[in-house]
Amino acid sequence: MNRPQTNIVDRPVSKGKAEVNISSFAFLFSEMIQYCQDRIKAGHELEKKLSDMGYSIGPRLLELLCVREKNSKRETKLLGILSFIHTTVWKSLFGKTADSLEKSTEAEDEYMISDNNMVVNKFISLPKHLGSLNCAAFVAGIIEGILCSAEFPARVTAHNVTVEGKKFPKTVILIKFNPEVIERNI
Amino acid sequence: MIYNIYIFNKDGLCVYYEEWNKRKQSVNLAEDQKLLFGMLYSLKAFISTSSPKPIDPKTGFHCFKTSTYKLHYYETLSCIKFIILTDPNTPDLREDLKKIYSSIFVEYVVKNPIYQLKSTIKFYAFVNPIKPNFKQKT
Amino acid sequence: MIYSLYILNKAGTLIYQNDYGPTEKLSHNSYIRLGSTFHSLHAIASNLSPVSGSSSGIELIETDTFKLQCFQTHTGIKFYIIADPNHPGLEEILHGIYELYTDYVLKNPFYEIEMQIRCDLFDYKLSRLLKLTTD
Repeated sequence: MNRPQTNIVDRPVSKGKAEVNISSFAFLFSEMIQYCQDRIKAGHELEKKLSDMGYSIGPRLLELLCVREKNSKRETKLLGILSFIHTTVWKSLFGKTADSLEKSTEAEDEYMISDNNMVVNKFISLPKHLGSLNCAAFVAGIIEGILCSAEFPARVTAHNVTVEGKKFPKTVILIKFNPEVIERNI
Repeated sequence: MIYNIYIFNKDGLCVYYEEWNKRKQSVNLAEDQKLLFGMLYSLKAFISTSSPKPIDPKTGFHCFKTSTYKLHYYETLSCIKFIILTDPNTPDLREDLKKIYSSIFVEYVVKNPIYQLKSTIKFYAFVNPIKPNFKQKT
Repeated sequence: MIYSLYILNKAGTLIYQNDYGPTEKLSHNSYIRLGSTFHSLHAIASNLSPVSGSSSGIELIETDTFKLQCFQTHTGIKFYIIADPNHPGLEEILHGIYELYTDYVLKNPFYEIEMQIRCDLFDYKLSRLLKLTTD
Protein backbone atom coordinates (compact mmCIF):
# COMPACT_ATOMS: atom_id res chain seq x y z
CA MET A 1 0.00 0.00 0.00
CA ASN A 2 1.72 3.10 -1.21
CA ARG A 3 -0.15 6.24 -0.56
CA PRO A 4 1.43 9.31 -2.12
CA GLN A 5 3.00 11.23 0.71
CA THR A 6 1.76 14.80 0.72
CA ASN A 7 3.76 17.41 2.45
CA ILE A 8 1.99 18.92 5.41
CA VAL A 9 2.33 22.42 3.98
CA ASP A 10 0.58 21.39 0.78
CA ARG A 11 -2.56 20.28 2.57
CA PRO A 12 -5.29 22.80 3.26
CA VAL A 13 -5.31 24.29 6.73
CA SER A 14 -7.53 22.17 8.91
CA LYS A 15 -10.52 23.78 10.51
CA GLY A 16 -9.50 22.34 13.85
CA LYS A 17 -11.77 20.89 16.47
CA ALA A 18 -13.81 23.83 17.60
CA GLU A 19 -15.12 22.83 21.03
CA VAL A 20 -13.71 22.10 24.44
CA ASN A 21 -15.72 20.67 27.31
CA ILE A 22 -17.01 23.53 29.44
CA SER A 23 -16.09 21.78 32.69
CA SER A 24 -12.50 21.15 31.61
CA PHE A 25 -12.20 24.77 30.67
CA ALA A 26 -13.83 25.98 33.89
CA PHE A 27 -11.45 23.94 36.05
CA LEU A 28 -8.40 25.09 34.09
CA PHE A 29 -9.49 28.71 34.24
CA SER A 30 -10.25 28.40 37.94
CA GLU A 31 -6.74 27.05 38.55
CA MET A 32 -5.28 29.91 36.48
CA ILE A 33 -7.04 32.46 38.66
CA GLN A 34 -5.92 30.74 41.85
CA TYR A 35 -2.38 30.62 40.49
CA CYS A 36 -2.50 34.36 39.83
CA GLN A 37 -4.05 35.03 43.21
CA ASP A 38 -1.19 33.32 45.00
CA ARG A 39 1.30 35.56 43.24
CA ILE A 40 -0.14 39.02 43.79
CA LYS A 41 0.02 41.48 46.64
CA ALA A 42 -3.13 43.54 46.14
CA GLY A 43 -6.54 42.74 44.68
CA HIS A 44 -6.31 44.97 41.61
CA GLU A 45 -3.15 43.24 40.42
CA LEU A 46 -5.20 40.15 39.66
CA GLU A 47 -6.77 41.77 36.59
CA LYS A 48 -3.35 42.81 35.35
CA LYS A 49 -2.01 39.28 35.82
CA LEU A 50 -4.95 37.73 33.96
CA SER A 51 -4.70 40.28 31.21
CA ASP A 52 -1.01 39.48 30.76
CA MET A 53 -1.83 35.81 30.45
CA GLY A 54 -4.37 36.61 27.74
CA TYR A 55 -2.03 39.03 25.98
CA SER A 56 0.37 36.30 24.91
CA ILE A 57 -2.49 34.39 23.26
CA GLY A 58 -3.53 37.38 21.10
CA PRO A 59 -0.78 37.44 18.47
CA ARG A 60 -0.95 33.67 17.96
CA LEU A 61 -4.71 33.71 17.60
CA LEU A 62 -4.54 36.60 15.10
CA GLU A 63 -2.03 34.73 12.98
CA LEU A 64 -4.10 31.56 13.00
CA LEU A 65 -7.41 33.23 12.25
CA CYS A 66 -5.93 35.30 9.41
CA VAL A 67 -4.68 32.14 7.77
CA ARG A 68 -7.83 30.13 8.35
CA GLU A 69 -10.55 32.68 7.75
CA LYS A 70 -9.14 35.62 5.83
CA ASN A 71 -6.86 34.13 3.20
CA SER A 72 -3.86 35.50 5.04
CA LYS A 73 -5.03 39.06 4.62
CA ARG A 74 -4.78 41.43 7.53
CA GLU A 75 -7.38 44.04 8.45
CA THR A 76 -6.15 47.61 8.04
CA LYS A 77 -9.33 49.57 8.78
CA LEU A 78 -10.36 50.36 12.33
CA LEU A 79 -13.95 49.18 11.87
CA GLY A 80 -12.72 46.17 9.95
CA ILE A 81 -10.59 44.93 12.81
CA LEU A 82 -13.33 45.66 15.35
CA SER A 83 -15.93 43.63 13.52
CA PHE A 84 -13.31 40.93 12.94
CA ILE A 85 -12.97 40.71 16.73
CA HIS A 86 -16.70 40.93 17.32
CA THR A 87 -17.53 38.08 14.95
CA THR A 88 -14.60 35.94 13.87
CA VAL A 89 -12.53 36.05 17.03
CA TRP A 90 -15.58 35.65 19.28
CA LYS A 91 -16.83 32.73 17.21
CA SER A 92 -13.54 30.92 17.38
CA LEU A 93 -13.20 31.56 21.12
CA PHE A 94 -16.79 31.14 22.32
CA GLY A 95 -18.70 29.62 19.41
CA LYS A 96 -20.97 32.65 18.93
CA THR A 97 -20.64 36.32 18.09
CA ALA A 98 -20.55 38.96 20.81
CA ASP A 99 -23.88 40.53 21.75
CA SER A 100 -23.05 44.05 20.64
CA LEU A 101 -20.34 46.36 19.35
CA GLU A 102 -20.77 50.04 20.11
CA LYS A 103 -18.87 53.26 19.86
CA SER A 104 -18.67 55.17 23.08
CA THR A 105 -20.78 58.33 23.23
CA GLU A 106 -18.35 60.01 25.55
CA ALA A 107 -14.98 59.52 23.91
CA GLU A 108 -13.91 59.38 20.28
CA ASP A 109 -11.31 56.72 20.85
CA GLU A 110 -13.40 54.22 22.84
CA TYR A 111 -15.34 51.20 21.62
CA MET A 112 -17.28 48.65 23.61
CA ILE A 113 -18.00 45.00 22.99
CA SER A 114 -20.55 43.54 25.35
CA ASP A 115 -21.51 39.99 26.16
CA ASN A 116 -24.44 39.05 28.40
CA ASN A 117 -23.21 35.59 29.29
CA MET A 118 -19.45 35.55 29.27
CA VAL A 119 -18.37 31.90 29.12
CA VAL A 120 -15.33 32.50 31.32
CA ASN A 121 -17.56 33.90 34.06
CA LYS A 122 -20.20 31.19 33.86
CA PHE A 123 -19.36 29.56 37.20
CA ILE A 124 -17.69 32.46 38.97
CA SER A 125 -19.23 34.27 41.94
CA LEU A 126 -17.13 37.14 43.19
CA PRO A 127 -16.49 37.59 46.89
CA LYS A 128 -17.68 40.91 48.33
CA HIS A 129 -14.25 42.52 48.63
CA LEU A 130 -13.52 41.91 44.94
CA GLY A 131 -16.86 43.25 43.71
CA SER A 132 -15.52 45.26 40.78
CA LEU A 133 -13.24 42.56 39.45
CA ASN A 134 -14.17 40.88 36.21
CA CYS A 135 -12.33 37.71 35.30
CA ALA A 136 -12.97 38.47 31.65
CA ALA A 137 -9.82 40.56 32.05
CA PHE A 138 -8.28 37.46 30.53
CA VAL A 139 -10.40 37.91 27.38
CA ALA A 140 -9.58 41.62 27.39
CA GLY A 141 -5.91 40.61 27.39
CA ILE A 142 -6.44 38.42 24.34
CA ILE A 143 -8.14 41.29 22.50
CA GLU A 144 -5.36 43.65 23.46
CA GLY A 145 -2.81 41.16 22.17
CA ILE A 146 -4.66 40.90 18.85
CA LEU A 147 -5.02 44.66 18.43
CA CYS A 148 -1.44 45.44 19.32
CA SER A 149 0.01 42.84 16.99
CA ALA A 150 -2.32 44.01 14.21
CA GLU A 151 -0.80 47.50 14.63
CA PHE A 152 -3.80 49.02 16.35
CA PRO A 153 -2.24 49.66 19.76
CA ALA A 154 -4.91 50.04 22.43
CA ARG A 155 -5.73 49.53 26.13
CA VAL A 156 -8.39 46.91 26.64
CA THR A 157 -10.19 46.36 29.96
CA ALA A 158 -13.17 44.32 31.18
CA HIS A 159 -15.97 45.82 33.27
CA ASN A 160 -19.15 44.73 35.03
CA VAL A 161 -22.21 46.67 33.93
CA THR A 162 -25.54 46.17 35.66
CA VAL A 163 -28.48 45.69 33.37
CA GLU A 164 -31.93 46.70 34.53
CA GLY A 165 -34.13 43.75 35.38
CA LYS A 166 -31.21 41.34 35.47
CA LYS A 167 -29.75 39.97 38.68
CA PHE A 168 -26.22 39.60 37.38
CA PRO A 169 -24.20 42.23 35.49
CA LYS A 170 -23.10 41.80 31.89
CA THR A 171 -19.50 42.03 30.78
CA VAL A 172 -18.33 44.98 28.70
CA ILE A 173 -14.93 44.91 27.05
CA LEU A 174 -13.76 48.50 26.72
CA ILE A 175 -11.24 49.25 23.97
CA LYS A 176 -9.39 52.55 24.16
CA PHE A 177 -7.20 53.14 21.09
CA ASN A 178 -3.96 55.06 21.19
CA PRO A 179 -4.21 58.58 19.64
CA GLU A 180 -2.19 57.69 16.54
CA VAL A 181 -4.69 55.03 15.54
CA ILE A 182 -7.57 57.50 15.61
CA GLU A 183 -5.56 60.12 13.73
CA ARG A 184 -4.59 57.65 11.05
CA ASN A 185 -8.21 56.63 10.61
CA ILE A 186 -9.66 60.09 10.01
CA MET B 1 -37.67 -9.17 56.67
CA ILE B 2 -37.25 -8.46 60.37
CA TYR B 3 -33.80 -8.38 61.91
CA ASN B 4 -34.32 -7.69 65.59
CA ILE B 5 -36.50 -6.08 68.22
CA TYR B 6 -35.61 -4.05 71.28
CA ILE B 7 -37.77 -2.88 74.18
CA PHE B 8 -36.32 -0.20 76.43
CA ASN B 9 -37.87 0.86 79.72
CA LYS B 10 -37.87 4.49 80.72
CA ASP B 11 -34.43 4.26 82.36
CA GLY B 12 -32.83 3.11 79.15
CA LEU B 13 -32.49 -0.52 80.19
CA CYS B 14 -33.08 -3.00 77.41
CA VAL B 15 -35.74 -5.21 79.01
CA TYR B 16 -36.29 -7.40 76.01
CA TYR B 17 -34.17 -8.25 72.98
CA GLU B 18 -34.64 -10.82 70.28
CA GLU B 19 -33.06 -11.33 66.90
CA TRP B 20 -34.25 -13.34 63.91
CA ASN B 21 -32.30 -12.86 60.76
CA LYS B 22 -29.49 -10.75 62.02
CA ARG B 23 -26.51 -11.29 59.75
CA LYS B 24 -23.86 -9.64 61.85
CA GLN B 25 -22.81 -10.99 65.22
CA SER B 26 -22.40 -8.24 67.77
CA VAL B 27 -19.13 -8.14 69.64
CA ASN B 28 -20.85 -6.74 72.66
CA LEU B 29 -24.62 -6.82 72.71
CA ALA B 30 -25.04 -4.67 75.81
CA GLU B 31 -22.83 -1.96 74.32
CA ASP B 32 -24.85 -1.99 71.11
CA GLN B 33 -28.06 -1.59 73.07
CA LYS B 34 -26.68 1.35 74.97
CA LEU B 35 -25.43 2.93 71.77
CA LEU B 36 -28.85 2.57 70.17
CA PHE B 37 -30.60 4.08 73.16
CA GLY B 38 -28.19 7.01 73.29
CA MET B 39 -28.49 7.58 69.60
CA LEU B 40 -32.28 7.66 69.72
CA TYR B 41 -32.11 10.11 72.58
CA SER B 42 -30.06 12.58 70.54
CA LEU B 43 -32.06 11.85 67.41
CA LYS B 44 -35.24 12.90 69.19
CA ALA B 45 -33.61 16.10 70.42
CA PHE B 46 -32.36 16.74 66.88
CA ILE B 47 -35.83 16.19 65.45
CA SER B 48 -37.58 18.55 67.83
CA THR B 49 -35.12 21.38 67.06
CA SER B 50 -35.13 20.73 63.31
CA SER B 51 -38.89 20.49 63.02
CA PRO B 52 -40.46 23.43 61.19
CA LYS B 53 -43.63 23.09 63.30
CA PRO B 54 -44.14 22.09 66.94
CA ILE B 55 -43.81 18.34 67.25
CA ASP B 56 -44.80 15.79 69.89
CA PRO B 57 -41.50 14.47 71.29
CA LYS B 58 -42.96 11.02 72.00
CA THR B 59 -44.98 10.18 68.94
CA GLY B 60 -43.46 12.57 66.44
CA PHE B 61 -40.65 10.33 65.25
CA HIS B 62 -41.74 7.43 63.00
CA CYS B 63 -38.72 5.75 61.48
CA PHE B 64 -35.39 6.21 59.76
CA LYS B 65 -33.78 4.37 56.91
CA THR B 66 -30.26 3.60 55.67
CA SER B 67 -29.17 1.55 52.67
CA THR B 68 -29.32 -1.73 54.64
CA TYR B 69 -32.04 -1.38 57.26
CA LYS B 70 -35.01 0.58 58.53
CA LEU B 71 -35.68 1.38 62.18
CA HIS B 72 -39.29 1.61 63.32
CA TYR B 73 -40.03 3.40 66.54
CA TYR B 74 -42.96 3.47 68.91
CA GLU B 75 -42.93 5.11 72.31
CA THR B 76 -45.72 4.79 74.87
CA LEU B 77 -46.90 7.56 77.16
CA SER B 78 -45.08 5.79 79.99
CA CYS B 79 -41.80 6.17 78.03
CA ILE B 80 -41.44 2.52 77.07
CA LYS B 81 -39.76 2.34 73.68
CA PHE B 82 -40.44 -0.40 71.14
CA ILE B 83 -37.90 -0.63 68.32
CA ILE B 84 -37.77 -2.94 65.35
CA LEU B 85 -35.09 -3.16 62.70
CA THR B 86 -36.18 -4.48 59.32
CA ASP B 87 -34.96 -4.42 55.76
CA PRO B 88 -35.32 -0.99 54.14
CA ASN B 89 -38.37 -1.81 52.00
CA THR B 90 -40.72 -2.81 54.82
CA PRO B 91 -43.78 -0.56 55.19
CA ASP B 92 -44.48 1.26 58.42
CA LEU B 93 -44.71 -1.14 61.40
CA ARG B 94 -45.77 1.28 64.12
CA GLU B 95 -49.27 -0.18 64.21
CA ASP B 96 -47.79 -3.61 64.89
CA LEU B 97 -45.58 -2.22 67.63
CA LYS B 98 -48.63 -0.63 69.18
CA LYS B 99 -50.40 -3.99 69.06
CA ILE B 100 -47.48 -5.71 70.78
CA TYR B 101 -47.68 -3.08 73.46
CA SER B 102 -51.41 -3.15 74.06
CA SER B 103 -52.27 -6.77 73.53
CA ILE B 104 -49.09 -8.54 74.60
CA PHE B 105 -46.93 -6.30 76.75
CA VAL B 106 -49.76 -4.94 78.87
CA GLU B 107 -51.52 -8.27 79.13
CA TYR B 108 -48.61 -10.56 79.88
CA VAL B 109 -45.99 -8.31 81.43
CA VAL B 110 -47.65 -5.44 83.19
CA LYS B 111 -50.48 -7.61 84.52
CA ASN B 112 -48.09 -10.36 85.55
CA PRO B 113 -47.68 -10.30 89.34
CA ILE B 114 -44.26 -11.96 89.20
CA TYR B 115 -42.82 -9.31 86.92
CA GLN B 116 -40.69 -6.81 88.74
CA LEU B 117 -40.53 -3.41 87.20
CA LYS B 118 -37.19 -2.53 85.72
CA SER B 119 -36.11 -6.09 85.18
CA THR B 120 -35.67 -7.95 81.93
CA ILE B 121 -38.56 -10.00 80.57
CA LYS B 122 -38.11 -13.72 80.34
CA PHE B 123 -41.65 -15.21 80.48
CA TYR B 124 -42.78 -17.65 77.88
CA ALA B 125 -46.19 -16.10 78.04
CA PHE B 126 -44.75 -12.92 76.60
CA VAL B 127 -42.09 -14.33 74.33
CA ASN B 128 -44.25 -16.98 72.70
CA PRO B 129 -47.01 -14.72 71.33
CA ILE B 130 -44.50 -12.25 69.92
CA LYS B 131 -42.84 -14.81 67.70
CA PRO B 132 -45.85 -15.88 65.58
CA ASN B 133 -46.79 -12.25 65.31
CA PHE B 134 -43.69 -11.62 63.27
CA LYS B 135 -43.45 -15.02 61.62
CA GLN B 136 -46.14 -13.99 59.19
CA LYS B 137 -44.15 -10.99 58.23
CA THR B 138 -40.78 -12.63 57.67
CA MET C 1 -42.93 22.65 50.61
CA ILE C 2 -39.22 22.51 51.35
CA TYR C 3 -38.24 24.02 54.69
CA SER C 4 -34.46 23.97 54.85
CA LEU C 5 -31.28 22.79 53.23
CA TYR C 6 -28.05 21.90 55.03
CA ILE C 7 -24.66 21.04 53.54
CA LEU C 8 -21.98 19.45 55.73
CA ASN C 9 -18.38 18.90 54.76
CA LYS C 10 -16.68 15.59 55.41
CA ALA C 11 -15.62 16.61 58.91
CA GLY C 12 -19.25 17.36 59.78
CA THR C 13 -18.93 21.13 59.76
CA LEU C 14 -21.87 23.08 58.41
CA ILE C 15 -20.80 24.87 55.23
CA TYR C 16 -24.20 25.98 53.94
CA GLN C 17 -27.64 26.44 55.46
CA ASN C 18 -30.74 28.13 54.22
CA ASP C 19 -34.37 28.21 55.31
CA TYR C 20 -37.07 28.54 52.68
CA GLY C 21 -40.35 28.16 54.53
CA PRO C 22 -41.91 30.44 57.12
CA THR C 23 -39.93 28.65 59.83
CA GLU C 24 -38.57 30.25 62.91
CA LYS C 25 -34.95 31.33 62.47
CA LEU C 26 -32.48 29.89 64.94
CA SER C 27 -29.16 31.37 65.96
CA HIS C 28 -26.18 30.67 63.76
CA ASN C 29 -24.62 28.49 66.45
CA SER C 30 -27.74 26.34 66.73
CA TYR C 31 -27.55 25.56 63.04
CA ILE C 32 -23.93 24.52 63.39
CA ARG C 33 -24.85 22.33 66.36
CA LEU C 34 -27.73 20.72 64.45
CA GLY C 35 -25.37 20.00 61.58
CA SER C 36 -22.78 18.26 63.71
CA THR C 37 -25.48 16.33 65.61
CA PHE C 38 -26.74 14.99 62.33
CA HIS C 39 -23.20 14.09 61.32
CA SER C 40 -22.77 11.89 64.41
CA LEU C 41 -26.25 10.36 64.16
CA HIS C 42 -25.45 9.49 60.58
CA ALA C 43 -22.22 7.75 61.60
CA ILE C 44 -23.79 5.82 64.50
CA ALA C 45 -26.70 4.67 62.33
CA SER C 46 -24.24 3.14 59.90
CA ASN C 47 -22.50 1.38 62.80
CA LEU C 48 -25.72 -0.08 64.18
CA SER C 49 -26.54 -1.92 60.99
CA PRO C 50 -27.74 -5.47 61.69
CA VAL C 51 -26.41 -6.62 58.33
CA SER C 52 -22.77 -7.46 57.72
CA GLY C 53 -20.95 -5.37 55.20
CA SER C 54 -20.96 -1.62 55.17
CA SER C 55 -24.16 0.34 55.50
CA SER C 56 -24.81 3.91 54.53
CA GLY C 57 -25.76 6.39 57.22
CA ILE C 58 -29.26 7.79 57.61
CA GLU C 59 -30.90 8.34 54.25
CA LEU C 60 -34.39 9.23 55.37
CA ILE C 61 -36.12 10.22 58.61
CA GLU C 62 -39.90 10.30 58.82
CA THR C 63 -41.79 12.19 61.50
CA ASP C 64 -45.23 13.70 62.08
CA THR C 65 -44.29 17.16 60.84
CA PHE C 66 -41.47 16.69 58.35
CA LYS C 67 -39.36 14.33 56.31
CA LEU C 68 -35.57 14.55 56.18
CA GLN C 69 -33.78 13.21 53.13
CA CYS C 70 -29.99 12.96 53.07
CA PHE C 71 -27.56 12.35 50.26
CA GLN C 72 -23.87 11.67 50.83
CA THR C 73 -21.40 12.05 47.98
CA HIS C 74 -18.38 9.81 47.44
CA THR C 75 -16.20 12.57 48.80
CA GLY C 76 -18.09 12.55 52.10
CA ILE C 77 -20.10 15.72 51.66
CA LYS C 78 -23.64 15.45 53.00
CA PHE C 79 -26.63 17.32 51.63
CA TYR C 80 -29.89 17.10 53.53
CA ILE C 81 -33.22 18.76 53.13
CA ILE C 82 -36.18 19.05 55.44
CA ALA C 83 -39.53 19.00 53.69
CA ASP C 84 -43.22 18.26 54.14
CA PRO C 85 -43.89 14.63 55.14
CA ASN C 86 -45.50 13.84 51.79
CA HIS C 87 -43.18 15.81 49.51
CA PRO C 88 -42.34 13.70 46.44
CA GLY C 89 -39.05 13.48 44.56
CA LEU C 90 -36.68 14.62 47.28
CA GLU C 91 -33.88 12.39 45.99
CA GLU C 92 -34.03 14.06 42.58
CA ILE C 93 -33.93 17.48 44.22
CA LEU C 94 -30.83 16.51 46.18
CA HIS C 95 -29.15 15.33 43.00
CA GLY C 96 -30.04 18.62 41.38
CA ILE C 97 -28.51 20.49 44.30
CA TYR C 98 -25.38 18.36 44.09
CA GLU C 99 -25.10 19.23 40.41
CA LEU C 100 -25.39 22.94 41.18
CA TYR C 101 -22.74 22.52 43.87
CA THR C 102 -20.26 20.91 41.47
CA ASP C 103 -20.89 23.66 38.92
CA TYR C 104 -21.24 26.89 40.81
CA VAL C 105 -19.20 26.16 43.91
CA LEU C 106 -16.40 23.82 42.90
CA LYS C 107 -15.69 25.59 39.62
CA ASN C 108 -15.56 28.96 41.30
CA PRO C 109 -11.92 30.01 41.72
CA PHE C 110 -12.75 32.07 44.79
CA TYR C 111 -14.21 29.14 46.74
CA GLU C 112 -11.92 27.44 49.20
CA ILE C 113 -12.73 23.77 49.45
CA GLU C 114 -14.32 22.51 52.73
CA MET C 115 -15.10 26.10 53.75
CA GLN C 116 -18.32 28.13 54.03
CA ILE C 117 -20.13 28.53 50.72
CA ARG C 118 -20.71 32.13 49.77
CA CYS C 119 -21.46 32.17 46.06
CA ASP C 120 -24.17 34.42 44.64
CA LEU C 121 -24.65 32.30 41.55
CA PHE C 122 -25.14 29.17 43.67
CA ASP C 123 -27.74 30.93 45.85
CA TYR C 124 -29.55 32.17 42.78
CA LYS C 125 -29.62 28.84 40.93
CA LEU C 126 -30.65 27.07 44.12
CA SER C 127 -33.61 29.33 44.73
CA ARG C 128 -34.65 28.81 41.13
CA LEU C 129 -34.40 25.03 41.46
CA LEU C 130 -36.39 24.96 44.68
CA LYS C 131 -39.04 27.28 43.32
CA LEU C 132 -39.32 25.09 40.28
CA THR C 133 -39.96 22.01 42.38
CA THR C 134 -42.33 23.52 44.91
CA ASP C 135 -44.69 25.13 42.38
